[in-house]
Amino acid sequence: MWFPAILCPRAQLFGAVIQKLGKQLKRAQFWFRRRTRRTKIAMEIVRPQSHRNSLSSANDAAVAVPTIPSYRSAPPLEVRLEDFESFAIDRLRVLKGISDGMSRGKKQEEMEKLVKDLWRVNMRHQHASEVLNKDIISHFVLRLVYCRTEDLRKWFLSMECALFRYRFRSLYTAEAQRAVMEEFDLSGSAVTKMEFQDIKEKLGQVARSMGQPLPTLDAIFYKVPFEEVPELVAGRKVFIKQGYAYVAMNQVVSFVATLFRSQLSKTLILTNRKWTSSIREQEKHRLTPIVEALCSSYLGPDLSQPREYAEISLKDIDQIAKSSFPLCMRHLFDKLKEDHHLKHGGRMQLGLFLKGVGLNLDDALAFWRAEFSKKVGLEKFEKEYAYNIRHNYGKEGKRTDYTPYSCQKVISSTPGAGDQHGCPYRHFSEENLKAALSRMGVNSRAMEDVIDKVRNRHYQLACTLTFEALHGVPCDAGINHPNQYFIDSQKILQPKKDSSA
Amino acid sequence: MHPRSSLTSLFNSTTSSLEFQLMPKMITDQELDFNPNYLKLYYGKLFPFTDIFRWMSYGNDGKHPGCDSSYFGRREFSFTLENDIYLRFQSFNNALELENSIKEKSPFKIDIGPVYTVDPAKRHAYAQGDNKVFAPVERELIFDIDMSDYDDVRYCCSGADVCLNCWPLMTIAIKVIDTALRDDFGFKHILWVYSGRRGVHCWVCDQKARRLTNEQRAAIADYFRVYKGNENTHKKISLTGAALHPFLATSYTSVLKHFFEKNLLTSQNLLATEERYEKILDMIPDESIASKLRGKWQDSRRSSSTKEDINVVRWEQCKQLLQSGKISHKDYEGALKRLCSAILTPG
Repeated sequence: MWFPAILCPRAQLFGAVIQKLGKQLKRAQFWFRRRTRRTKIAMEIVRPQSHRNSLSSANDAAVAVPTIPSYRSAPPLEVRLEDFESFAIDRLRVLKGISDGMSRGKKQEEMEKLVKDLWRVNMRHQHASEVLNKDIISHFVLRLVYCRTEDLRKWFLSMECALFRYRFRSLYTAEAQRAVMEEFDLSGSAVTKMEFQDIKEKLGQVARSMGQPLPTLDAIFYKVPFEEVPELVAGRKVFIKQGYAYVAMNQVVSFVATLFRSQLSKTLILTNRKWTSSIREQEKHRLTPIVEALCSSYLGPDLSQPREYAEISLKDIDQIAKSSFPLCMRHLFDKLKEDHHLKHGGRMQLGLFLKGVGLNLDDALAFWRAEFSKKVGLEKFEKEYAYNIRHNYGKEGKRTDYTPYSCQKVISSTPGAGDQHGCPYRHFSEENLKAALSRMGVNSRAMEDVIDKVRNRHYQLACTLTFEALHGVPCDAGINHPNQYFIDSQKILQPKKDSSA
Repeated sequence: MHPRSSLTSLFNSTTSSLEFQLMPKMITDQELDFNPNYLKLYYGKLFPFTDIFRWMSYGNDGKHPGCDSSYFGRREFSFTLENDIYLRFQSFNNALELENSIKEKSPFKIDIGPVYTVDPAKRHAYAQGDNKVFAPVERELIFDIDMSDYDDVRYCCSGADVCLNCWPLMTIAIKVIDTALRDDFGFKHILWVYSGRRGVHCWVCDQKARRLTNEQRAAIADYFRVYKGNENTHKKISLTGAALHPFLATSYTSVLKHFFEKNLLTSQNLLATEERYEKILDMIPDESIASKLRGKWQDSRRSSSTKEDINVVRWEQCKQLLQSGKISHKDYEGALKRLCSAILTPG
């Protein structure tokens, strides 16, 4: 049902809400863009800059252009109340689908296809001209929903950035990509022909080091400060000279995505302030309940903390380690018993896991003390390690109660020399993994399946198969969190204990 | 800034002959007996308060227009006192306050923290819940290299010990990193300093460096990292492609090749015994070549009738096989790359 603005001042009000948000954001974006412009002067400017005005005109385009809006300014639109909610839900389906795909360890090509399908199915509209609006409106509504806590912001930021990347990648033509880049004021840093000649050889070396063909004479490269493309620098995928990185057109995705990310990150903080200071109160009878409901009904799997705490006592630990710890924690536990020491990464990963398992602070201190004092002595333990354990339980310093690491976090860690943390399915060599699995009691047939999953980089599915092999029951939900593995295992092994939340 | 450290001139020299000769002064046991009175003397007569103040002010000393007079006062210092008492969030408005506080407290260790948005002493007034109004804004880019990171390629010492044979590994690392920081990243204000025990610290003080985010710092560290593993992972270096990134190629030709072949191979006897050469063979991705070499070397265990060092001989054999196998002959540099790979993340 359509409420003409005249008859329903509230619909107008909503438009004003978004407008107000938009103005606030505009001011922030202006500041950000000013900074960008200052940076741009340091770079080579070959063409005159694009104009901010062209942004708003993009919203007027009645044609369904295959473009990605930059979400910098809120559209001056009237939005129907039911669209407010349904657009957001549709977009949330897309974001949640991305989240699921990522935690299943899907590869890039699979993810690209997934995103395309998700977008096509959920984000269409019967009027072609409304497609872009739906995109923009749903994004802004979800900003309201997900700006409220650090965890929510982090999740939303990750998913929106992933969405942006995959959409950007699947823009077929260089023209379309350039158009998006112009939205980010990036057209001004192309490398001149002369400079290209000077560095051609080095650019070639970089290309060949990645197994790619040499750049042709008409290849476009962008010269940007290395700070703008940290990913490419980290992977040595670009030539760097005197603080500038020379980025190939196809690598542009990376730095556009970085800009998108930092923009959105800043914006979310501002949105939160606006929300808490005025909007939530103003809208408490209408939009606020919708926003709050949207959030709590769609928590991604990595946000939910296992709430079922069984009290574990010290004497039980050895036993439950053997029976219910996932491989990552079992390995850390065994190494700790063997070496009477663990480096910082291992102490964090295992320590927080044990907290989640139900080990209270006193028992935790006793546990670590018993092991470490064998190597470093009681005094050194108290001096150097006890503080950090208390810190993990939120009893020191800024008193944050730290959450045990999810599988995603464990998988993406980078253990180095002397470290034992991380995800064995990812970080161990095949040999070592097989040995560890057989120590756990996985039979050779199951082991083949597990290794197959590992080879395809589905680390969490490998862990799930291990769970199923050891417990003899299927695990349909899949493993997303080491503490979830533990709880599920205990549920099976000790069915008498009623562990309802 | 540990009072026990003896700063050496090792890092100021640019001539190659000096690099392999100088090393940190070995301290005798008697001299090691520490007495807090030495600190009083040190702070009373030697500690360069004004220089530190000038450095940490980065020009904001109030003497010329455009200064930010609050700048120095927003820098955090932390002191470790006797009995391991740790004091954070110390801040000072000028050199005199810094001097008085240090002389009064006589810290065993001084750490320099970041510059915050506001004076750290006033942080409680600003930090409320989610709002990060009290937050770090500037911090030098710092690298910390420990000799023990090279423990798997040095056999002369272990742990905190250092000697003339293995210290050159550090020198090499410094050369490689310093060159890259200047040529690739464009940094200019770099200080290398002995860390006091078994390694070095690198302080990059350019304004651009001080304003880097955590992500950017991690990216620079990763740019340098080659060998990313531990005893659980694969030992094979992943060096695919027909060429090396210019950073690796330049490091190799200008520094590493010479050092490896003329110095490290022999001084550490890297290929002399089975245990040692296995580590290197483990890194060769092509199994057939590795086993050919293994076969050769197992047979020739006692063939030291030649005058040439056994390590050199074996290295030449390794090179030949790799080249003839039509694998990019740069793959054998994988072994070399381990040498410059042990960079810890800064901060």
